[in-house]
Amino acid sequence: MSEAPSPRAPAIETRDLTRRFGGLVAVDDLTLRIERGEVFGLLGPNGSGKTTTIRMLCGLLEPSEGWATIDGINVAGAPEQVKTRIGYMSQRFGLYEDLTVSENLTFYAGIYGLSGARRATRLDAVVDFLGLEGRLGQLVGQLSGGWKQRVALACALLHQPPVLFLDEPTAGVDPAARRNFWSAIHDLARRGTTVLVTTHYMDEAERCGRIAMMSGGRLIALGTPAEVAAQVGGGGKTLEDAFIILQERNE
Amino acid sequence: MIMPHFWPMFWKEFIQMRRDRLSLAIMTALPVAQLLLFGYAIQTDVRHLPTVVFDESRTPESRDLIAAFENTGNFRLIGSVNGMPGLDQAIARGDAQAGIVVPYDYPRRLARGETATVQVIVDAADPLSSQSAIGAAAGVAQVRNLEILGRAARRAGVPIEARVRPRYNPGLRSPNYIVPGLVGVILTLTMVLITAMAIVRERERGTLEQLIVTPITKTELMLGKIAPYIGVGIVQMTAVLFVGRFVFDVPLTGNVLLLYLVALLFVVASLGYGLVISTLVRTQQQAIQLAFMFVLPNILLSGFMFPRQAMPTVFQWVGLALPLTYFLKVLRGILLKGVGIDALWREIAVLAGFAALLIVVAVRRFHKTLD
Repeated sequence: MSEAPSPRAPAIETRDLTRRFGGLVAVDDLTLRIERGEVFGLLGPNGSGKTTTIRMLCGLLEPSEGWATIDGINVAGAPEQVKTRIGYMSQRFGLYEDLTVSENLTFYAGIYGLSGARRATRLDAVVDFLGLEGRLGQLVGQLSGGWKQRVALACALLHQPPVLFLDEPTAGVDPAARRNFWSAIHDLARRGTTVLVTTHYMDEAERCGRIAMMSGGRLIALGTPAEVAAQVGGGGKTLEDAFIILQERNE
Repeated sequence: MIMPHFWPMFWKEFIQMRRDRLSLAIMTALPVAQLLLFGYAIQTDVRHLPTVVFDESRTPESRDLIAAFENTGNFRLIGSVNGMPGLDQAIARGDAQAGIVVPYDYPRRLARGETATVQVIVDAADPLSSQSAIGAAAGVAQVRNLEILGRAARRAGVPIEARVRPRYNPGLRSPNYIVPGLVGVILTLTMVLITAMAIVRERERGTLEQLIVTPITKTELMLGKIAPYIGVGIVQMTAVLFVGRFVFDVPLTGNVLLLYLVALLFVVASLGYGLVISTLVRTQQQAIQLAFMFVLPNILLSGFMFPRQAMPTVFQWVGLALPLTYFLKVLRGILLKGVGIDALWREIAVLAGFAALLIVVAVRRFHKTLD
């Protein structure tokens, strides 16, 4: 654990990560290791600690105990250094609804320090990648949920972050848009981006390389979707069955 | 490059400001309303007080005296009554605010060289308007006295005359006093109100969370947010000065460039106050309430409406914590007196101190976390 990125370090690592809000333990003793290029799913019902975990990994919340690193850099120790290496889509849509798509993109390009030819290249690249050409002049507030998510993802990708955090990116998005969104995520992972995504949807969890199930702030299962399903014992169980059984067992 | 993320922030704020109808309304409607209110409605020099007369003597002498009262311009005769009950009633009902009673023996006592009395009854429920009537009445009597005594003593002139020269505002016009102050009040109101909502609005809309996971520094964020409003402040000040000059005839005596430079410091200090408020609250509603709680003492204690010398010491101290107190001195000093840096450097230094301190406090108080 240091303040310089290390090429052999895992993309994301946490050790005994804990966060309390007053008497409530939102995240309890979480230890995870996520390798580069993984699409890692964080599953769990509302209030299980997924969002708090992501916020600690992004430096938005300070851990009460334990630590987290991104590319080997301690988040609590060098949050600003971490911020240049991560992209983040918050659960609640976080772009400016009174700006157009193009104005939001230009703003975030500037905030991520892109300028000149590199800025133009990156703007073209994300607009092309997410198919935003026809929407550039539209106010973001007037877009549908699916398009908003695409613009948010575009803003989070401008600076080519090696690690991407997506907090329930497809909530309230129609199935076709969800499928498009996930194919974009797999494209990114193929090019080496590490993606940590939280979701409610079991079909989305199936698309992840590995998943962690959380309940009441604790990690209750970890592995590939098939492994997690098998952990419940007996074949023929789906991930959804596993999810419900694990949760009931934990309560 | 120094502060590379400042310009994107500034540009974004500027676009949002242009599209936000509420902010635009605050920035344009507030100055206009304030100018009309303070410029036209609020006049502290009360003239033409409605007056009834009860003239018991009905002689040329009494009519002469009543004419002298009317000629001061402070009394406007609205009728005469035939007894004290009629006069009392007129004042009680509010038809008249002053009554002049000339007793039946007025000319006789005057002729005999005794003291002749005339009663002036004033509705003092409103001290501001009664004050000028009382002063005018005393003046009428004094002018008469000097004439009569001078004749009796066979002197060409009075023994002593105090020659009062009201400097800087010879006509004692209240717009000259109010309009320069209004520049400061309007700037305080709009600058503090708008920036008080600046951070908290992003928090409420959920855009702050997305913004603070980026490498923008706290200082860049804060300065980028307030910078567009510095321009707004300068435009507002220009508009008020323009209307003051051409509608209310307020003189622009001194160095206007110096005034604009000091105004920059004052605007940044006011924006700083707003930012500090923004870091203290969780909702826009709280921000507006706190901003108004801050604006009120500015209007009452800064010397804008009431002279600070008349305030109890504690409130004079409170006034010293308000940038407006210093800026008012600069405004009146430059606009009315035409003085320069040599007379105002203390106030300018304090304003510069306020501006720097408040921005630093706001940046320190702001954290790039959600806690």
